[in-house]
Amino acid sequence: MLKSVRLNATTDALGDATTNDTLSRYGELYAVEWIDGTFDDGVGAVLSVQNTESGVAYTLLTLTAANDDAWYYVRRLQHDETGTALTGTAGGDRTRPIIDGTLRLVVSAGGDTKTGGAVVYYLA
Amino acid sequence: MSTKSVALIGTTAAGSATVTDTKARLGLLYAVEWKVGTLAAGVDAVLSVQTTESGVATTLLTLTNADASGWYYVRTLTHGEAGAALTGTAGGDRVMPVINGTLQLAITSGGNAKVGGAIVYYCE
Repeated sequence: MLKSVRLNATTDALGDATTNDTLSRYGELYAVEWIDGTFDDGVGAVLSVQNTESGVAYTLLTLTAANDDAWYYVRRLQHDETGTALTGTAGGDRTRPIIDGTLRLVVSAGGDTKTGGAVVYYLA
Repeated sequence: MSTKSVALIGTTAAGSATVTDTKARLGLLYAVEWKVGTLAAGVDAVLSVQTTESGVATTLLTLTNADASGWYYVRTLTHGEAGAALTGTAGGDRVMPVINGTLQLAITSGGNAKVGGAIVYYCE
């Protein structure tokens, strides 16, 4: 089933913001809708998963100079039985990344007291 | 996931018609069946999602001179972890786009008092 979670962010005087989801989620990332809102040009953002089952946080998507609203259908490399990454240059070679933990959106260089964020779509 | 459908059929006035779905939907666009009906040759149509969770409307399909009925299995580009679009030249590189809001079909240049539209198939 497709589900969505919105992560709103309001930057501080330094242009930074960190938004954590309110609960842990388990599923496969389908898409991320980036909402530029009122952020300054040059804004960066990192979507990650924290408080994971393994204890190791990991990054799902890194955006730099994300100056426009946009959709990202993020897909990860696949591997063979020896752990070697497959070609993965085309979208059909890749697969949806796992979400197993708490989603976190970190915004940087967004300007003072600006708002925006992301809607994260996942299959649960 | 189960597949569902919603019909967006309209009657033009001065060549144009806007048909808005009766409710918001959350799912993945599987296919669009364009029904030209009695619409005049040269008709154009834009299928979009309005009143979205993000507040940003999204265009799903743009048809120009859609003079014959037809099926469109729309698929969107995928991206790497840095947000860069993958090659996407082959269908297998692409995925079903997200629907999260109210579907809207805007018809233009369809002739006066003509009838036609689309049936939207989606997975939820």
